[in-house]
Amino acid sequence: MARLGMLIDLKRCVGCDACTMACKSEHVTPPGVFFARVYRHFYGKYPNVKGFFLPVLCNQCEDPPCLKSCPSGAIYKTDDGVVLVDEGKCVGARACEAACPYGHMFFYEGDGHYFRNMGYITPIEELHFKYRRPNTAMKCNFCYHRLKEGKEPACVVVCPAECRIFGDLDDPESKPNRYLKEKRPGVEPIPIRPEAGTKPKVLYLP
Amino acid sequence: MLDTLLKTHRKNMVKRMMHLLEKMDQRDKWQDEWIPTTCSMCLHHCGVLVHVVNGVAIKVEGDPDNPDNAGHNCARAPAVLMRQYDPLRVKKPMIRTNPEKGVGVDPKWREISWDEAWEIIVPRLKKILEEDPRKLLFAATDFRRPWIWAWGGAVFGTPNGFFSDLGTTCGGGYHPVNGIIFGSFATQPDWRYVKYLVSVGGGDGFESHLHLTCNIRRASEARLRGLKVVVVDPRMSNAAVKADEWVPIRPGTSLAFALGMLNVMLWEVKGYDEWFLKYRTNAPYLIGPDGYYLRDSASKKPLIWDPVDNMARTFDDKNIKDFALEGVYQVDGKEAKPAFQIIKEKIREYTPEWASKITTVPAETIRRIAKEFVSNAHIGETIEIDGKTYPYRPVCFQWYRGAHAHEHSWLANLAYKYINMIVGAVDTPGGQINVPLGWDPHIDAWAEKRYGWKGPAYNFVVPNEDGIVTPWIYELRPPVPMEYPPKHLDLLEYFPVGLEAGHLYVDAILNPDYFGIDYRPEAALFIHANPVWNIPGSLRTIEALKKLDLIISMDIIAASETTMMADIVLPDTSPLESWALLHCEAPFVTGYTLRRPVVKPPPEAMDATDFLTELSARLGILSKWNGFLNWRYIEPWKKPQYYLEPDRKYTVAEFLDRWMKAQYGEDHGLDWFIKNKNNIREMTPEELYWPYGDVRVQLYVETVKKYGDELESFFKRIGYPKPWMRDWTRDYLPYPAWRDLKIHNPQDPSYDLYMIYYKLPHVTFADQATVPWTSDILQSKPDLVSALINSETAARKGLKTGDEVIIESPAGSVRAFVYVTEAVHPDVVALSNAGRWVRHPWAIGKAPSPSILVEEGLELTDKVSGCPETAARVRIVKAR
Repeated sequence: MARLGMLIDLKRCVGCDACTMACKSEHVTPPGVFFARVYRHFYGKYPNVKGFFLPVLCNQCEDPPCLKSCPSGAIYKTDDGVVLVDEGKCVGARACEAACPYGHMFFYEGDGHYFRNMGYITPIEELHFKYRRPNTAMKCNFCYHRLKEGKEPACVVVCPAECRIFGDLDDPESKPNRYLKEKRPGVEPIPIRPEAGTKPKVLYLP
Repeated sequence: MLDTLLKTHRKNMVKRMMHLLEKMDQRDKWQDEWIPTTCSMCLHHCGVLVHVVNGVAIKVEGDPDNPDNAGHNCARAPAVLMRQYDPLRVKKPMIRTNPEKGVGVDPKWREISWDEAWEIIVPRLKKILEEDPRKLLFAATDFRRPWIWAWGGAVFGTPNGFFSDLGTTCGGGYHPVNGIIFGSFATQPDWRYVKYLVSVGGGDGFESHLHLTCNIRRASEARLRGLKVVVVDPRMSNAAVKADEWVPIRPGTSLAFALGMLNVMLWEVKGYDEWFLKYRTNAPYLIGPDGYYLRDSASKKPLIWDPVDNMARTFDDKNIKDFALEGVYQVDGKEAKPAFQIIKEKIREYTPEWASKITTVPAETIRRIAKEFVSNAHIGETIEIDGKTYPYRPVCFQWYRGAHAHEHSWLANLAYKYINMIVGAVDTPGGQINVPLGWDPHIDAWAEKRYGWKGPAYNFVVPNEDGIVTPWIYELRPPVPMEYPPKHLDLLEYFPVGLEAGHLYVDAILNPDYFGIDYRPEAALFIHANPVWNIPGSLRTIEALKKLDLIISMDIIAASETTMMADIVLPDTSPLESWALLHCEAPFVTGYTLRRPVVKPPPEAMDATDFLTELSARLGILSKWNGFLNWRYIEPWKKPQYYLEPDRKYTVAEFLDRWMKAQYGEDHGLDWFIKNKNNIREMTPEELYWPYGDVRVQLYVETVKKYGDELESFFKRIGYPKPWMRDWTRDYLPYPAWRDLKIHNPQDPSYDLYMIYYKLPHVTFADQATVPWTSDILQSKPDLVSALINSETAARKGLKTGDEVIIESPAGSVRAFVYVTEAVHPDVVALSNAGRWVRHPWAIGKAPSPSILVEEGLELTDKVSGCPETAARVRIVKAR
């Protein structure tokens, strides 16, 4: 079956946070939770300063430590390589949060609406939170609900720089493989922190 | 009888079953659709699709059918959703019950009916209308409904219709330079072909300004093709992060940087496009001792010097063998120099060494970049595109707000424009493309008449009798005669080539005698405007607003620094609830996208356009409103069947339908746009690259000198009744020159740092900064909501990241948290535009509001363009 993954061309990314916002609005995540987000790093001493933007999201690892750590077996991998949390089985142990070396696992405590201090919930949040179980883990799911409709993940579709390329890493004609051949030939895509040994499927082009 | 009973029973059963089936059927009528409309979170209105489920808008995505944003959108687009359902959404008219007004003061709103609202507003405005319309201040510079901008001036008749200042974060002197020289409005690098980009104080293609979503895509592709980017900026902006080279610079000195580059280009490497200067500009026009064109005594045409036949000729003489660009000549007993000779002489003193002292950029860096710019310009080379040959100049010097929003805005913008013009890199493949004002049907109609082009907005390029593009000055407002005392609170009488200077309303209100204002403004009508947040010197703006008797604010959310000062707040519709036709105003593509309602508005909300229609009717000026809409949008097409009848109230949708039918045809009205979403198309190379034909542009901007001299004569004639008139025309120069800024010479040396503020890609208009999703993202990145300070400077002052400080300027003080970084110039404190000081749960109160720190006044205003100074001199002390 397919082995879904994502290429991120760092040369294109301009750090605009369109992906952060698209993901937030797609999943209506609670305050402080960003499945997709962009880091910025500077190095060097003034005036010889360099910087780069690093968009991150769940790496959908082939050997996911979150899955292995879950005491209730709530985390599973689909046939096409997407790592999902079954809220129904999650008992809120939070072992997965500790196990992920990348910080891509989050915990939904309940009451995740942005104006909860005012006792007000927007209709958007109402719609999304209606069936979300409190005290369960939550994470990027490669927008699995969109994949089923033949759409790509929200962060991929939104990017103005077109830096995210999504598809089946095993298919030589998939978008990621064609992109490597046509746009960045000879450049080896690399994961973040390969030494963690989780075999990430989100790969970066420098 | 049993028969009848059974029959009835069966009938009832069938009825009940039918009823049940109907109910089950209705359960499936769950609205779940994607409705096309436009985003309205900046000026460019990307086409988007909004996911609406049972009347609730839950997602915004780019429309792949829109050639402009091609299915993408930026971080601002989804913010419209949470603003839509903000608990502080204005749903009904409200009046203030707390008479006290000021920073942090709760107005204590009370909801009222529209009838009550009209009773408050109409008699008051009617009185002003009858007594003196000047007493109404108006600000509705709302780019999502451009037709309402002019209501104050064109319909109500107040000259004070711009109380929000376009210079602070927008064009300042940039629009006059582009309009006067090229009949255009804005600029953009030709991303498709540019190879070397110097980007100064702006974010085009990375984080701000023109059509972010579309230009990020183009710029990213250009960089992958090998585009080299040099960013000149006091802080390492997002553009600088991606650039090949970041050149840190002291704030307010980019003009010196540009003059240093010009010096190298003109004097050291002689890197200029002779052909372009000789044939496409007035560089060869002979200038007399009075600074004006030397003209042929018979034909009055400007003269040039033909160095082959050694004689003066009129510029269009068929016998010209060549044009002299340099030299000194005698013509009819007068000393004459080609304009280029004069310009060269003026640039001579601005060596890179001179520039280095002012900018803190090493002289060698300035020299090297100038040389790189010239060598990458490929002067003399051509390129073939679609079978036509064009000059190939793949370099662009692009700039925006940071570089020009200072007291010397006109001179700075002119210097920056020069860098492209000298090498011929304008309106040619790879160079700087002039971008017209997209939404002006007058230009469209003119373009159709002159070029046969249907629809695309186009630069107003009409050559005058001197063979030069007629300057297009009145892009956003009509001409104002020079007179005294001034009618305009912003002294527009004395800005003959300026945009507007809305920040000066504050001074005029607080100190009318100083300006010579002979009336007292009484009321203000703001529509989605926030001058308190926007204009420099926020605390003085508040003092000025306190002097008004009635402030009406129409807005979407009740929490705004300006709305907090209002007496009455009115419920506006949001972009998700209203109709509009909006031009994308991007370079490379042109056309309109339809915005349509996707959800129902609060029952008592009114679109601001409809509000103005109703208000006009009640004030008895409805025919003037319809008259204006006709003149601006429908009359250019000369189809009287679509003109609005003078005394009929039209809805927005009705007006748009008539306009579109007049412009595009009977079958191309609103229905066509409802079906097709947009009529955007790519511009052809012929439209992009010097489509003007055989015409010249002003390098030596005689127009500005002319207006300056006229203004000076006027002041002299009336005897300089005000002291500030004496020095007023100093900067009305036809060539760039260095001007020191007040911020370079603070009276109190304890203000040892420069404060600059920058635009985040997440926030264009103020009310986006309180959208919870946006605020959450920004607060997750402490540097974006803190005061950025250079590490050495911080060490010297004993400051570390997280320290709470007070930043003080002569205009005010703010609290902030320090973030120590290498990525900012040592003389600088850099703030973002995230800070809001309103009572909203997601306002980032700890992020300081920069406008409080910026001093404002006539002395800090560019007298040519009206642009205010936007940087400040500050000092930092630890809080507590």
